[in-house]
Amino acid sequence: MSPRRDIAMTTPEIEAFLGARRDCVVVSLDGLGRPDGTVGSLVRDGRRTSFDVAADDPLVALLDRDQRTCCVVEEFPSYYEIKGVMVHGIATRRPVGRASDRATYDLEVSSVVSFDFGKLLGPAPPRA
Amino acid sequence: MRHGGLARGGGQVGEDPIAEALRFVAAHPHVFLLARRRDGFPTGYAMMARVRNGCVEFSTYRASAKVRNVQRDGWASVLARTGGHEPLVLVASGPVEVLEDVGWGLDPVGESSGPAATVPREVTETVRARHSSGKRVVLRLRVEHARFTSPAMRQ
Repeated sequence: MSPRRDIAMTTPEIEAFLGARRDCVVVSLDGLGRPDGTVGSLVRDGRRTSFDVAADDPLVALLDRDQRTCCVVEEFPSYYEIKGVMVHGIATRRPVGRASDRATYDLEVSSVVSFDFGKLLGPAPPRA
Repeated sequence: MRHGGLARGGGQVGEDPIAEALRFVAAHPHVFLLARRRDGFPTGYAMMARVRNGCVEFSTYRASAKVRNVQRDGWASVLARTGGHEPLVLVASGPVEVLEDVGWGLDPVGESSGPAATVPREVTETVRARHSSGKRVVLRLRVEHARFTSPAMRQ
């Protein structure tokens, strides 16, 4: 059996990737524990992560009920340029001081998963 | 009353929402498969989808975490979107089954061209071989609910 290639990004690669992108897909759970999603905007600032979605998006009510969240940032210019990062964590909504059309959440990150298909083109890993 | 214009997903107004959702996925096959992990957290996988026999299908490795996740719950969602700053977004959900003896061909199949248009031929050939050997399976999502949202629709 051939060893599988490790196509995960390094920590500096993840930071650079998230630091250069905003668009994300936000995933939450409905009352039955089933996944639901929307589009949002992710900000990775040093060690802090936050995201926002439209304040009237149906996902806001789901996040009020269950704070477990996943934000997915990815790009797909071509097959071997596919890159993505999935950030899982607990989302806490920031207080709204005035009327806003966005709901902003701080994300306490619990896990990060990444992939870079460009690493499929690198040298094959040695057999065990 | 039926109108002659286009509906949210690009189909005809008054069209069955499930059919409208399938048409939208077929037109925007670079999607996100939404599921729940073993630890209870939601998660999303960027994937290529195809629409076949009235369902949304995905090709993936039998041993992958996403197969275990959708098998555990038997339910998943798919998020598809248009491009641009204010995209039209579809979230469709329904029961999922794992099919072991379904191929994933090089040529367009059914109602959607699926991933054939954007995946290199050598990759598609490898995927087809993995289906033949049983290393890959097809996840088939039968859409029961569909919701379109966009900033313009909420105004």
